[in-house]
Amino acid sequence: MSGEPPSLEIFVRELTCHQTRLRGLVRCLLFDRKQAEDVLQDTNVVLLRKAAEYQPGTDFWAWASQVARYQVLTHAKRLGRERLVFDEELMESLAAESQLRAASLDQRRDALLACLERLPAPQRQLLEMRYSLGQSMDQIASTMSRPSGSVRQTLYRVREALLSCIERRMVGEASS
Amino acid sequence: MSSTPERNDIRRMIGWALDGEANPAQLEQLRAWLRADPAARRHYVDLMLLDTLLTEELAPEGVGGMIDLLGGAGHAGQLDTSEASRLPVAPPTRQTTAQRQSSRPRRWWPTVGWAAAAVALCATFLGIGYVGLQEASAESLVKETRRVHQLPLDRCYLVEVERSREGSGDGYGDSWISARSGRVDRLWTRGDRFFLESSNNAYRWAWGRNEKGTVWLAYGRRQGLLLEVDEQPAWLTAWCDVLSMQLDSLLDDVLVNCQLTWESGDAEAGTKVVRAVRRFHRRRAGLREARLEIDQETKVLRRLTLVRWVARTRQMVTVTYTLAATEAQPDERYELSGHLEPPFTILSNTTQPERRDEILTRLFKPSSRRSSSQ
Repeated sequence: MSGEPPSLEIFVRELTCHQTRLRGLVRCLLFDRKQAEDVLQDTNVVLLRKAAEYQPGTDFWAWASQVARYQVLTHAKRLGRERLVFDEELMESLAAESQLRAASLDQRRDALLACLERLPAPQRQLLEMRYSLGQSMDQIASTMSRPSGSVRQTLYRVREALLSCIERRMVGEASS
Repeated sequence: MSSTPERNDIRRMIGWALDGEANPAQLEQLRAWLRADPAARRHYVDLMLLDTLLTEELAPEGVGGMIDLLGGAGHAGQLDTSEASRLPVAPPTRQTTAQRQSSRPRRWWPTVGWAAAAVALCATFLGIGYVGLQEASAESLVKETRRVHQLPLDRCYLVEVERSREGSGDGYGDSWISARSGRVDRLWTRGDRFFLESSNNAYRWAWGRNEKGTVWLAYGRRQGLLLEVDEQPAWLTAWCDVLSMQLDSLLDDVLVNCQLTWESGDAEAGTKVVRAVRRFHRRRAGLREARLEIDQETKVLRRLTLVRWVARTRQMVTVTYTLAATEAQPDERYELSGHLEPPFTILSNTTQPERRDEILTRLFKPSSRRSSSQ
């Protein structure tokens, strides 16, 4: 195939590498998962339109995250003030918090995978129903013949347990 | 977060918001908490990032995810317990008839969606297409193959699924051990339509998807059932897409994310072989390698082999589609009635739906045959 990677290839590689960070940033700024995915795709579209402006070797993340934040703001304005979940000031605070964590997302993913392996099967199944099948709480409750409140509570506990597990593993890695 | 009860309230509220279950008043309350409390903001961000990672790790990758399921299932009638629990009793997906009937493939989120968009946009806005991402001639051959596959012809493929007993640890390669010889089923496709027939004469079954997107299942000669588009669980829809070989989506993934190289084809058979190996390092499960054996003259895909790593089961799964025949089939073959002999009974959402769901549950539950076959 070709010898020297052309700039488009470098650009696509950067975009691929930063996709999770971008998804995480947008997700932190929008409650709705589907809206977050739409905004992420809009962000990718804008970045690709501007691909020719990208200079290999410059800080891709700084540029891409700025574009993503702008896209979220544009989306929020389009939705209208009455449906706005966050005001600009709070968005800035959350974006800053998200940026702090972004650098360690790969370690978080490794820790999460290890934690998922240790999760009891029923809890794992609950997560798969939520994330693999995209079922709502009511749908899961109906499938499992359990009250919705009970499913919500279990999911809350599973996520809290995963967060604790991730933190423990990351602290352990840092100290070793 | 100030007090323990309030901290727990905030955490629960974040969870509801994350799942889209919070009402406007609760969201307003949460916003006030997040403004006032840096610890609440940190926890909120932690949970949203966890949600992001779970979404990426657990969400099916469109066609790819369903190949994973195929690997776990072997074939219709042998799904594992977790899948069985989802089938008939699972509420319908929100997919609309319009979506199903659209000739465009759905957005293969999350993997292929943006990547396919990337390629399309590169071509549209930058005017440079795929060149530079892979060798032009291999790329154009694959694109031509995709076009040819979309022609409304009846093609029969032999589908074989093999899976390793365990992964090689350091990724894919030649070291994985096949757990069993793959079972072969006959698959007929025509565009979005397909049907799959049992190769076991003692136990006749067939299932498929017709022109309207309705999934049907014939069990025995006189009984069958129907699942309309809005009743089909998401995994079943995606599984059907795998079986109908929606190459648009598959090849988008291959073209964008894989390095294409030529392999020596069979000159006598007149085939060219393109090998696609995933380009970027990724931790998550997914397509590792694809091998496309293409007829040099007609550009028909003779054989497609997909190798995927399934993180959940720590197995390597190989699915091979081999073209066995191209032969006009009557339209009825893609309909349930074409696989039944009168008088027959068809269960649907209007005719004995409870009975239908009961049968589906029983059919898709793991059987002792499955255990013994492994």
